[in-house]
Amino acid sequence: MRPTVAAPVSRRAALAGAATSAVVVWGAGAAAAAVPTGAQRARYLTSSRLAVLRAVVDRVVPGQPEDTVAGAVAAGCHEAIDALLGAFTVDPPRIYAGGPFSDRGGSRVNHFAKFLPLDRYEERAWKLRILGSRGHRDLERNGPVTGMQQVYRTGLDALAASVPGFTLLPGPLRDLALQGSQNAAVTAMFDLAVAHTLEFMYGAPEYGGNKDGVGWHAVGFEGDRQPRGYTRAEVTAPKTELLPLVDAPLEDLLDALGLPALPPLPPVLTGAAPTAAVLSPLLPLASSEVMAGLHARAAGSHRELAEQVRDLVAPVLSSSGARGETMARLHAEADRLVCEARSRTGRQSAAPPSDPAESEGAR
Amino acid sequence: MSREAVVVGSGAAGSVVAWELARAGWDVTILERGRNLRPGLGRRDSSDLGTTYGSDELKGRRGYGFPDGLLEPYTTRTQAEARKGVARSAQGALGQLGAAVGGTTLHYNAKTPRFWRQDFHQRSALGPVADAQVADWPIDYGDLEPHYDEVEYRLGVQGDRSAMPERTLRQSPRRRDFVMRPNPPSYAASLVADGARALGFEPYPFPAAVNSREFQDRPACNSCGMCSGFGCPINARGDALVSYLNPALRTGRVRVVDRAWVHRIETTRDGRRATAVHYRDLQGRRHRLAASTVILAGSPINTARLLLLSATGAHPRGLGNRSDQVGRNMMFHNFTLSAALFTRDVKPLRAQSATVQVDDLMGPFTGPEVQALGVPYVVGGVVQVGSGAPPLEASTTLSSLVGHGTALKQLMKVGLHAGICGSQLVHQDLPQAHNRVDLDPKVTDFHGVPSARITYSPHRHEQAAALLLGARMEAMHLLAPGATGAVVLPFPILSDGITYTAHLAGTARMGRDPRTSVCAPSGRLHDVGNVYVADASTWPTYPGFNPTLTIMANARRIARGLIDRPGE
Ligand SMILES: Cc1cc2nc3c(=O)[nH]c(=O)nc-3n(C[C@H](O)[C@H](O)[C@H](O)COP(=O)(O)OP(=O)(O)OC[C@H]3O[C@@H](n4cnc5c(N)ncnc54)[C@H](O)[C@@H]3O)c2cc1C
Ligand code: SF4
Repeated sequence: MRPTVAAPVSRRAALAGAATSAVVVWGAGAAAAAVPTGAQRARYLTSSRLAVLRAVVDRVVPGQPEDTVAGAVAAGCHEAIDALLGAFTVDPPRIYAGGPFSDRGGSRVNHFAKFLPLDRYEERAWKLRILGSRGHRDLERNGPVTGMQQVYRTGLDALAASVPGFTLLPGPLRDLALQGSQNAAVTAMFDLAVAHTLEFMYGAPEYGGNKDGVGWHAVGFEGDRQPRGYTRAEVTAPKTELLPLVDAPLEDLLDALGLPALPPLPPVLTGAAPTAAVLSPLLPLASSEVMAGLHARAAGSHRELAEQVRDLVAPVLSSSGARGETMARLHAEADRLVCEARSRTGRQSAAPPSDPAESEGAR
Repeated sequence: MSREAVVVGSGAAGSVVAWELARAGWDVTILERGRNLRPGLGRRDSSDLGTTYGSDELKGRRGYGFPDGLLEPYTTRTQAEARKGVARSAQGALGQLGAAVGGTTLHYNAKTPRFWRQDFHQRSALGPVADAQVADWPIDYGDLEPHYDEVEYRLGVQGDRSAMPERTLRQSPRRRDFVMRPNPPSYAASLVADGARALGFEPYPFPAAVNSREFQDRPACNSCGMCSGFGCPINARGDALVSYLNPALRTGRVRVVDRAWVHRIETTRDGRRATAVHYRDLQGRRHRLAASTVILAGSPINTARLLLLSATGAHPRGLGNRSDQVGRNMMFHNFTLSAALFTRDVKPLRAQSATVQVDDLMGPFTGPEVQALGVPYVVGGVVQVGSGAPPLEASTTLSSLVGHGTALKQLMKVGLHAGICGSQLVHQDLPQAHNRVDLDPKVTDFHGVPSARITYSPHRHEQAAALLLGARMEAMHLLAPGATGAVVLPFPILSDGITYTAHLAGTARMGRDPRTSVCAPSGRLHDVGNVYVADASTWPTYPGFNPTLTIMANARRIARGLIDRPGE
C-alpha cells in the first residue's frame, strides 16, 4: 500500500475507529429463492463423501465458532458443489441460471430460479468438464480430461483414508491436514473445492450456495439490483459507512492458519499497516477485466490462479530485483507529483469525505 | 455486379457491415460460431427483445457467451519462450473474445471514445522505434469522422461536449453534440476525478453507448453497476445486436447461421478470387457456402487464424499472405491498474463501471525523462476511472494472495465492492513482427482444426510508458479526497506475457504497399479480389482508446467503399 505523504489521520486510527461503528447494510430484500435444496436437488456424492466435503468447505470460509457470521457450511456450499457434480441428472442441467432478474431487485418473478437449457456445444463442454473424457477419442484430441466428479471422489476418499476422523477434527487441525497434505488427489480436490466454495459463497443463491444471501450479507454486498437499480441520489451522494476492520495483523492470521508465507513485505506494509492495506496491491486487479485473462489461464484451478497472482504482485510487495527497483522509482515519482500538487493547490492533504448523503449539494 | 456477401462473425464489425450492405440492397449471410442469447432476435423490434443475461457473476465466470477453453483453446507463449523453442506455455480460453450472435458487444462495457487525429500518422510525426513496426494508417481521422458520427447516432452515445478539454475536441472534432447527456458519475469516480484535477488533469464524462434517457424505446440505464462483462438486463446499452444486427435481420435481406465454425475460404486455382466459405456445424458436419464476396469480421486472432488455415498452392503461407504479415503485429492493450483506498464504503459499484475519462496521459511524451527511459517517445492512453469488483471476483482475487479461511473472510468485509475506487490506463501497444498469431502445431479445437497460437511480449516502450504514466496514475489516486493510500499495478512492468485484455488489434495490417501490408486501405486483401477484412485486424497501430466505436466506424467505411467501389 502507498501511504499518503501526509495522511490526515493515520490509517490505523481511522480504521480502528471504523471497527466500532461498522454497520453492514443489507437492503436488498433477501427473499430466499426457490432453490431446489433438500431432497429434490441434484446429487452425486455419497453421504459419507458429502460429510467430508462439508468439513472441507468449512475451512475455505469458516463460520462459527471462528466468526460470528455464517460461513460456507451455513451457506450450503458443499451441497451446491454436489449439485454441480450431479448437474446432468436434472433437466435443464444446473449450469446457467436464467435471466434477466431475480426477485431481489424489485421483480416479482425470479427468473434466475429457472435454469437455461444448454445447447449441444454447452452440453458437450460441461459434460467434459464434469464427467471427464473417459477414453472417448473425439474428446481427447488435446489429451485426456479428468472430470470434476473424479477429482472430488478420489480426493475425498484419499482425505478420509489418510486422516481418519477428519470430519471430527477441530478447524485448525483440518487446516493443517489440508495444507500439509502430500497426497496429489487431496491437493487436486482441495484446489477445486476452494474455487467452488468461493463461487457458491459469493455467487447468486439460485446456484445453491449463498443461502438466503448469507455470503453477501457477511460482506455488506447489496446483491443484484435489477430492475430497480439505483437512483441518481444513491449514485452521486450515497450514504457511506465507515468500514469495519480486521484487527489482527495479517501475519498472525497467516501463522494461525498455517498458510504458506508471503513474499517478504517491505517495511511500509508491515508493523503499523492494517491488514487490509497489506493486500491492497490486489485491489485494482480485482476491479478490472484483466482478471478474466488470469482466470482463463488458471482454468478453474485456484492454485494456478494464486501462483500467477503472486508472481505478478511480487515486485509490488518487494523492492528488490529489477522489477522491484522499477516499482520503487515509480513510487518515488508519484510521491514527488503529489507533493508538487499539494504545494500548488495549497491543499495540504485531502479532506476525508464526510458522509455525502448528509452534505448533499457539495457535489 | 455481385450484390451478395458472406460475413464471418456477427459482432461489432460484422453487424455493421451486414446492416450497411442490406440497406444498399445486398443479400447477406452471416456465419457465427456462437449461439443466440436474445430471444425474439429478427422477429421483434430491438426494444422488445428478451435476454438470457442477468446481474449474475457466476454465469460470467462460467463463460456464458464465450468460447469454451476445453473445446476451443488458444495457446500462448512469450517471445523469449519462442526463441528457446518452447511450443506453448499456456492453453485455454486465453485472450478470447466472445462467441455469440452479436459478438462480444453483448457484454461489453460500451465505452465509446473516438481515436485522435494524431493516431493516424504516428510514424511520420514521431519517427521509427527500434524493434517495432510502427506505420501510418493509410486513412486519417477525416475519413472516419462521418462514420463516427453515424455510428454514435445509431448506438445512442451519451457524453458532454462542453466538459471535454479543448485539445480533445481539436484532436477529435465532432460535427454534432452527443446524442444524450451523460449519466451521473459514481460518487467513488468523482472522488478520483477530484484527485485528477489536483494533478492538473481535466476529467470528463466517459462517452458511452448507454442510455441516459429512453432511446429508441429502450430504457435509461439505472446505474445497477454490474455492467462490464454482464449483458445489460434492461436493454439500456446500444450494441452490435440491438443497433445493427437485429434491424439488419428485419430488412429480410440478412440471415445468421449460428453455431457455424468457418475454417476455410476456398479460392480459384490461381488464388485471385474467393469462391466459397467452408464451415462445420455442431455435429461436425461440413458445409460449403458459395460466395461472391467474403467479409472477415471474427476479430484479430480468429481472422488471422482463418487466413492461415486457408493456405493453398497459390497462397502457400496463408490467404493473402505474400507480405508474411498475416498474424504479425498482434496488439493487446496492456493496462496499468490503480486504485484509491478509502476508510468508508464509497460505493464504487453504483453506476455503469468507470463513468469518468481522463485523457491527459495520451501523449506523445518526448521530454528528457522519456529519453532517459531509452525510448524515442512514449504514447499512453485513456484512463477509465471508477470501478469496483463484485464479491465473487473480489474473493478469488484476494484469496490468491492470502489464501482462504478467516483472513479472507475478514478482508472481504472491507471488500472491493466498498472501500476502493479503481481505474485502468489503456496503454497503446506498439506493433512488433514477433508478436504474432500462427497455427499451433499440435493443439486443435474440438473439430480437430488447429488452434491459434499467440506469441507475445510487451515492447520496452510499453514498460517505459507504464513507469512514466504509472506514477501519474498513482499520484492521481493518492490525491483523491479521503484516500488513505493508493496502489498501482503496471502490467507491462510486472509481466513478460499477455495481459489478456479484451482489446485486440493487428494481424492483417492495411497499407498501400502489398509487400509490407495485407489489406488495401479499402480493407480488401491485396492479393484476392473479393475478400475484405472489416475488424480491427487491419489497424497498423493501436491507439490507447477502447476500440469498438472505431471498429464500427471503420467497418462502416469499408462497407460503404465496397458498395460504391467494389474491388477497390
Ligand atoms: C468484459 C468486456 C468489456 C468490454 N468493454 C468494452 C468497452 O467498454 N469499450 C470498447 O470499445 N470495447 C469493449 N470491449 C471489447 C469489445 O467487445 C470488442 O472490441 C468488440 O466486440 C470487437 O468487435 P469484433 O467485431 O471485432 O469482434 P466480436 O464482437 O468478438 O465478434 C466476432 C464474432 O465472430 C465470431 N467468429 C470468430 N471467428 C469465427 C469463425 N471462424 N467462424 C464463425 N464465427 C467466428 C465470434 O464468435 C464472435 O461472435 C469489451 C470486451 C469485454 C469482454
Ligand atoms: S449499469 Fe446501466 S447499462 Fe450497465 S448493466 Fe446496469 S443498467 Fe445496464
